[in-house]
Amino acid sequence: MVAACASGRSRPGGLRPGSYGKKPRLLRCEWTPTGGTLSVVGSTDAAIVVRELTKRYGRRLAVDRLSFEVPVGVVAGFIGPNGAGKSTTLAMLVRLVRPTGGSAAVLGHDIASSPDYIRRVGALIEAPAFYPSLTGQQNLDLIAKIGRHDPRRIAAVLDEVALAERAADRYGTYSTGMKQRLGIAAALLGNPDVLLLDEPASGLDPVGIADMRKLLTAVAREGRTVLVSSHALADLEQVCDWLVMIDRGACLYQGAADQLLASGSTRVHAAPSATADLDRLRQVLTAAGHLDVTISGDHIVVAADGVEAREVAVAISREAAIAGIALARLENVAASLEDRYLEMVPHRQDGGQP
Amino acid sequence: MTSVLDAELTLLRRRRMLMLGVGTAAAFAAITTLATFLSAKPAAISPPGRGTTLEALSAAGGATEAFRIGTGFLGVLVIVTFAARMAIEFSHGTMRTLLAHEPRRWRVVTGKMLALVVYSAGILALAAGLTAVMALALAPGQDVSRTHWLGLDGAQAAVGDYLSAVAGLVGWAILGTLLGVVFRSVPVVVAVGLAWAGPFEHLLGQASSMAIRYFPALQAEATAAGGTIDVSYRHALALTLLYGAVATAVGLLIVSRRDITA
Repeated sequence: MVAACASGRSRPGGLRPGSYGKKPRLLRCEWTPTGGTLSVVGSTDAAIVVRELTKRYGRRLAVDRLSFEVPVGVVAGFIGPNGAGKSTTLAMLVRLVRPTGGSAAVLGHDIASSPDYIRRVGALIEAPAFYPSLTGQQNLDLIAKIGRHDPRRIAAVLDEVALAERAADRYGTYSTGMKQRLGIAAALLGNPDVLLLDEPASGLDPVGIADMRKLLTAVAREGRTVLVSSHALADLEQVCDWLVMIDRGACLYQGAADQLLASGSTRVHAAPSATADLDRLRQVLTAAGHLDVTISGDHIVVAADGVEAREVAVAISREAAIAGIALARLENVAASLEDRYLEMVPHRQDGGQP
Repeated sequence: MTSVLDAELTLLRRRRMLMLGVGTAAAFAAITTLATFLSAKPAAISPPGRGTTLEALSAAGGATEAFRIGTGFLGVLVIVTFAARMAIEFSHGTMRTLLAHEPRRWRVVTGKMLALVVYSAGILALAAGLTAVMALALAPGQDVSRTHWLGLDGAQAAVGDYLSAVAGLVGWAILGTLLGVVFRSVPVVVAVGLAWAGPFEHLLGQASSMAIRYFPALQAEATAAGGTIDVSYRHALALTLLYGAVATAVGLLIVSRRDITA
């Protein structure tokens, strides 16, 4: 069973703010019998609940009746093509952008009513922006004063993002990655229960990206919730328990990351001993009734759509033996997040703008 | 709001900003005092309403007369400074960063404006003091009597001139902040601020007495100068307060409703 949402709409009444205990509990998900779509039908604990959220800029629809929820204590990946509405959605969740329609709740607080929940939310929306003539430390001092955060946390968060050594340098002298680190430090400053991060790995070096993964995992382990938008799908796959996939402002999928990956078609890779047999093997397998057979480098890729990959591998082995083709390699390859993303998000030539 | 005010004052208390303030006050005091004292003529040969007279300089408010006259010309500078400082917060994204930590937008905008008002009022106080000191030094050479400056009347006049200047400053500050909130772009607010508070209001002011009596930047100017021959201080102050209240309401409404997208 997979939790998902089609056309940006979940079943009415299916999404609601829950109680906000410390232990995360995943959503209960069922197949929706009508329409052949999948939807979330109920939830217990959710840190973020978005229902029919809409944002329109003039004639352009940036977010289209988007509905999803994020359970407490998970790292949730928020993915979609450029212009899908991710940043706009995150900005609406911290009240920087006013929704045109729909509603959302963060930690049980309706975003349209009291803004006080913001103090429990740490956010890095779009690119980090600080005062270039102030040092990293001074920028955080300023934010701590304005946000009434504990100033003693400044040293801790600078250390967490590995920026302590450059804290006394002016922000204007920072590299792109260091600016990003300071943005994350600012988001962590208020010791938030919910962390909203928009492309946090942007500009980070490989060590920084690895540190980021550790940080997100550690934050979730403390019972806090992270909603992170990113195009680095391989990184997200490593840290995310939960995924929300949107396109053109509407939800394509929401649910456990494992379930999305498990629901993808496994592929079988078969490499003949002699590469000259590649094309003949493809013809043999196609003639045997395999529908999705392609050549990729030195091997054949066969999609195991709706069939146990093991059975497909056995069939390939049998057909190759009958045709007298020796196989050097035969393996099942599980679908990655990128594979699933490419399957689910339609390719477009318009740069992803809705 | 006090937390924003405190944070913003920390920014403005930096050495560089303090040096800038001291430099501005000194330059203002030097220019206005020299220009006032060197151009002052006896009332008998000075056309009415055209520059100050030696008799006016010898009166109780003579020590800060140059300051009073000079502040009337600060409108464009103050409006553009406040507008640009607010616009840059929006265009560079720092407003977005701050609002992610203090969600009540009015607190951030008001706190920032008040901090700059406090900083500017400090510069004005220093400028008033420096003007008085320079006036004391220049007076004997220009045959200006200092007798009335040093008594209670002199002190009251000096305080009055300073408070009028601060009242004008607040009026300009609110108008400038409104420009910054509305346009959110430094080049645009500088262009609009310069055009509006400079040629637009002043040219229309010369063509129409209505403009002199009712245009907002001119009212703030008249307030800062303690009144003019065309507009009484009370009239100017009342209208400055009215425009300030309206601009504050409009500005806060815009701030609370518009998306922060930069």
